[in-house]
Amino acid sequence: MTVLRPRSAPARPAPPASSSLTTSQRLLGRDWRLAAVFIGPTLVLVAGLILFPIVNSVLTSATERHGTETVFVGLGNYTALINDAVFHKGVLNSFVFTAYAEIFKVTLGLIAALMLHHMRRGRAVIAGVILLPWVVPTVVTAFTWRSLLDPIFGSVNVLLTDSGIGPALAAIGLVDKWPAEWLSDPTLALPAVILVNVWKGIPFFTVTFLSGLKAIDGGLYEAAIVDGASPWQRFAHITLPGLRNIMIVTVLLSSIWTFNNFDLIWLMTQGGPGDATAPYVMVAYSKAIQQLQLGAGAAVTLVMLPVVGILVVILVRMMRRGDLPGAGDMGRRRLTPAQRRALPWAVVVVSMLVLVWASPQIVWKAALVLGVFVVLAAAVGRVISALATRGNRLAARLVGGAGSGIALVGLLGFVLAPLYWMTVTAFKSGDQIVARTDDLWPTPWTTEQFTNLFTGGAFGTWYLNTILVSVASTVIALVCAALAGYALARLRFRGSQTFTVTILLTYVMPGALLFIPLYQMVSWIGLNDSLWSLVLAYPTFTLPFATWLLVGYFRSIPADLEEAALVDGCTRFGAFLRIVLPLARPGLLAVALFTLTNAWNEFLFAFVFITKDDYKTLPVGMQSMIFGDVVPQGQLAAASLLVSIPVVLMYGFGQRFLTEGLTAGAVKG
Amino acid sequence: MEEKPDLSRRTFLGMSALGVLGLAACGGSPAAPQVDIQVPKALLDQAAALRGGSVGMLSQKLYSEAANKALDKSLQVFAQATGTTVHNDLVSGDAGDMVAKMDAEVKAGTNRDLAFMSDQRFVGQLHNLGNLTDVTDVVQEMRSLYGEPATEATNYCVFGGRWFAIPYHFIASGMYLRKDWYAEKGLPLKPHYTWEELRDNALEVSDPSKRRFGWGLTVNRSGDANGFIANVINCYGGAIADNTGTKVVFNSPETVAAVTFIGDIYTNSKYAPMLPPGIGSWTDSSNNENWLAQILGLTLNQFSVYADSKTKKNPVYANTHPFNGATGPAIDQPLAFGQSNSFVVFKGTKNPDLAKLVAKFMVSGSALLGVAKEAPCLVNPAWNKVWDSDPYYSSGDPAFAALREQTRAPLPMRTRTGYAFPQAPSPGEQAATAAYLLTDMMQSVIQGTRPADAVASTHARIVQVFEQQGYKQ
Repeated sequence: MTVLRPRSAPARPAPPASSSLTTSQRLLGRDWRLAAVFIGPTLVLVAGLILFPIVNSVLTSATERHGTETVFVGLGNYTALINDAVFHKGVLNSFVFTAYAEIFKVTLGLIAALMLHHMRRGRAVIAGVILLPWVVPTVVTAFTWRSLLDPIFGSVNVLLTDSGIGPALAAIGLVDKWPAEWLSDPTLALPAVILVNVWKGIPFFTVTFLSGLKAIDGGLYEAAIVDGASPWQRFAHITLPGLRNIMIVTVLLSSIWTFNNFDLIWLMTQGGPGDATAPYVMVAYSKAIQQLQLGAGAAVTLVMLPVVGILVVILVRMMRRGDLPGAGDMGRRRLTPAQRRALPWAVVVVSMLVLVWASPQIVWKAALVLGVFVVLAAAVGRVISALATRGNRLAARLVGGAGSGIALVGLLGFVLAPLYWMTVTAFKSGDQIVARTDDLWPTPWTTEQFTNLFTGGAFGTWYLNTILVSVASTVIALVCAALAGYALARLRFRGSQTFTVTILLTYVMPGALLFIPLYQMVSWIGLNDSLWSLVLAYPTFTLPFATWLLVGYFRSIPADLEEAALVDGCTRFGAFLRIVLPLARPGLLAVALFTLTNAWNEFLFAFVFITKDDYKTLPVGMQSMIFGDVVPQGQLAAASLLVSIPVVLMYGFGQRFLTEGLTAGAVKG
Repeated sequence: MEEKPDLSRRTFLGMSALGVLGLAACGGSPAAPQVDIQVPKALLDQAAALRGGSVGMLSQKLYSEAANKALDKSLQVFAQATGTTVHNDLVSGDAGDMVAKMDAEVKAGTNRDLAFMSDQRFVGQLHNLGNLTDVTDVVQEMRSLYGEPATEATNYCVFGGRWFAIPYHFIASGMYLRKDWYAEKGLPLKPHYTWEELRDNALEVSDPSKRRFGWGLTVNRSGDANGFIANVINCYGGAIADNTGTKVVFNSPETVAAVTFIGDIYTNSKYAPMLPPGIGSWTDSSNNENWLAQILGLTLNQFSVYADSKTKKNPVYANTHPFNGATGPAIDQPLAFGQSNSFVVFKGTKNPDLAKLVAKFMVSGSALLGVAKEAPCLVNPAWNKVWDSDPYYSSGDPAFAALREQTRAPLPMRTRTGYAFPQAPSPGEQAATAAYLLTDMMQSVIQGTRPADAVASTHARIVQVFEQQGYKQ
């Protein structure tokens, strides 16, 4: 099925000349000394900031706190989970949440990427727009959507009622009654939260799929057209296989992040109604932080470690695939090629079955919604094919254009609607917001929210802090990822696989549980309430993704250039600096953008490490604007606008590099 | 406190009626002008030896920006007058991890010297973690200076006969209803109602077509819901733990009756008109928002929403009838005794004497006055003589008389089933509440579980929590 595309020339390692290697080199690989230097910074960061808390958690999970004493209970915390209904529900919720969110993100991301790929004009603008949900801080996302989904005042219900779609949804049984109570109906709460997660996740999928599409050799399509393949056949036999690798990696990464997600649900529903939306991380958080039983909380997280661990292991294999074809399983071929191809499908089928068992009411609704999309797309595709075969080129193009136009409008509408609400709310007066009138238009327009923002809090300081932290952590991430990526791509040393696994361990532990041991460590070093704690912590979360991206990018640079430089007397490091780095600029920029955005929006660690108002970053500062039980929607909206604009501008200019960086590097092979 | 099984009618009224009517007039004067803050000579003398020192302080954020600023100002005046440095930072008490963070800091030795926070919510937890120092000496000194503190403080700040927190300012909580809606239906305005009355009245004033929903109390995961459910259970004669706070007594006929009552409201179609759509997903800010949007007939909250409606000139303010709370079959007076924001001095503090001095200063006359004037009804004196220290506290507002009576509420209040409120701070109870066991229980009742079964299974879960905290059942 995939023989059409030539693989990139494998760089098989030449058998080492026995005379030129020392014992240590024979044991640890030829370049182990240099590799140690290169991967050193990353190892230190990850070991310090991730491994230490994980080990700490393992030890803590065997204890219970009774008053001021810590009592050793062995496996007591784990056995208690066997009968813990809240824990079971939490795991189920996490699984259901992740599964559906991934399905929709893949579908919508693919549609968006395909449309962007075929667009001739305006691609930069649309791509920039589609990236917006990623850029908006989670606290703003949560409160914006809560407002929109309000059953009485929210625009979603108002618009759906006015257009008649709402009662229709109730009539076919998609919702139990109209007006639907999106967040308070136990059957609708989880779908609603999934919707918001999908909204937030589309940009990441779109960007990665877009880069994957760019990486597919155009010649293949031409060859297929010459052979008379229809658009659908081209899609099924060239596009999908070509995207297979990137799709799997993206889905795995996103699954890990979504499975461990905490703050979105926390801010939207607190896990309610009842425990209908509580993910397992919230159960752990409740035990550890609210009931002050760190051991019990740690046990919950560690029990789920194997699940996430499996995903991580698969991810490592996928990421390592590119180097040497079959290198990962040299000498360890347990499965035949056919079995290996069937494995993902088997996983999908099993997951489907579990989903049906876990969430019967959601399954058919999700299938219906998804089915509608797919059927529409297929129908349009058929019509285009039919028209094309009948020779009616113009009509085919028109239908195709109209079809993608409508799809594009739909997608953009979905992406932009909450942002529109956010923008107009920033210009509403406080009275209008409280009275909940005219949700979609400021009457009158006023800039009082902006003035309150700057006179009230330390908004300017927060802005400055965020810029400082983002830039500093991006620099560190770039340095570490570039060094580590080069080591993995070029240097031969033992333990490269272990190293990859180690940095991916970062994703294994949800942030919501990492932060207490991390906070203790940071306090012990004396770095709490200091921006440096953030500057050091942030890079660790982007390092795996960044390293993977750069590994691919470095590999795409022909090794001959460096060899030539080495022959001319340049050191490895010099070759790295002077030849590889300049050529890898798009990849480096992609990493920079990714890290910058993450740092810009990061909430949990900033929230934990920083208490002084002067040192807060924007997301934390904005969260602190919520005074107990009074939410200043207007000021939050105004702040969000000011927070999002620089990132949007950055992406507007830089998204070309982001996709290029992803394309040329990671997605090949 | 001496037990008084039957409260005289006067005390009864004094506590509730006056307070309630007064609260309605509370905050009559606009934001007060500058208050001249002075450090009392006695404290200046004590500070002489501490010149040049510095302390770090954490303040639980007050629900009024102006009040937070006034607090900072008081601290700066103190610092200047005594030649010391005071660093103050605000923390939100509602984020859920304030205690965990403080604990981590103390264990790492990087904590600040003192902090103030709600005694009812947090002091017990911090004491249980071993993070607080004994401040009985300070409290004794203040007793001689300022008289007795609010009665509830003796329950929430005292452990094993020793004080671990210094009462700072008193916070009252209340319930609010729409008096215009009540008037339209000829319903009386009273200082307190039974829960049944409130429910029936709420139904009567409801009119969904006019966006009038009489019942604004949720049972979804939130602090408000936890308070509401616990209150009804207590009024019916049930309790999570016994009076010692160590033994779980949740499963009882009284608790089942209370849970049945609450469950009925959210499942019986008869009461559907009085429930605002979406109430099942409300979190702590939702009832405020809907109250301020003027669509609720009844809600329960701290005075933040009340003060907010007044300062923002929301029309709902004029139509608000605040009252102390509701009663039930097991008790004839609302369980309303408020709470205080209290100072704690952390273990391992580098400058305990200065920290204690700051506390002594902040509770007194002019230091508190500035903050109180910026947060009418939210910040009130917690010490008896401080009420008398300035005419503002007596004549600045008719409300103060009644609020003052709340600070003098004779405690404990006993239910007919023998529980005495406020009960001893119970880490098990706090953990069980924080784990949202009560709200999850109500949710299962709404989903169809029989109240008796729901109570029984929740009892088992509470037992598990208590045992995990080290209290064998």
